[in-house]
Amino acid sequence: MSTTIDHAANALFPPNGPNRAANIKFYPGTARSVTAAQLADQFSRADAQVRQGQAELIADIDAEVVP
Amino acid sequence: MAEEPVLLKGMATHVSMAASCPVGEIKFHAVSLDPAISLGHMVFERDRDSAYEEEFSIASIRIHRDLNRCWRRFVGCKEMMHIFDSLEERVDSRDKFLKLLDEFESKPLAQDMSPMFSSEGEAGWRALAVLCPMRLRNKYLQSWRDKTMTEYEIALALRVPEPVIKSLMSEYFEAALTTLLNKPNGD
Repeated sequence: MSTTIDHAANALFPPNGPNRAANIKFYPGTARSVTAAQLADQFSRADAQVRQGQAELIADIDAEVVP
Repeated sequence: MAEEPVLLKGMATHVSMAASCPVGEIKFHAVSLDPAISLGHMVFERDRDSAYEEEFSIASIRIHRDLNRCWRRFVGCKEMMHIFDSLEERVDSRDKFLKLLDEFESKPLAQDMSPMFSSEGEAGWRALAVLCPMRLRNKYLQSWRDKTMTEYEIALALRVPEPVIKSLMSEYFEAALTTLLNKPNGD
């Protein structure tokens, strides 16, 4: 098992604790093919940004420009 | 005067307030992603710091920060549609998460797709139907057929990505809507 995939899976579904996630889904990118590890890594990177307060909350998703 | 497009912000509020909605709050976050790999994702998670005594779920929808408005709306809406995933479609365990990742990599045949992976494509059609309801679609259909409006102009009016206009105007669109509406509730 890839360490990258393990890291994401452990964050969402801790081996020794209650599940954090009730559902997780992805919107694919522009590449014709991706690996499971690449996708897991994108989740982990975004998750770190959100948890560390470095992901701006989008107040108005319909706005022309968001922070 | 052009008819206003469907606004996602108000829809998210209504969805989260609906009694049948399994999530209490929907949050959209702008994050830095590699757009070649993914344009966004959503996590439905339990808010352990909630002031409410009952378990409170949050839909945290992460969207690549460099997307334009049309793509941001569509990605956000598609991820929001997963609020309506059935129990078998939800990725609520480690095994289902690993399975979903594997299917993104292996791209199985339609008949071999797990319910979780199948719901990815369905949510895209739901988002299209929600952002471009029949009344708006039909308003622009003849102009699309006559080519008196370009797909870019129609996408701009509807505030959706240009690549989705072909699907929206396809003969299959109505069939897809019928399939989704008639889909039995798996819960």
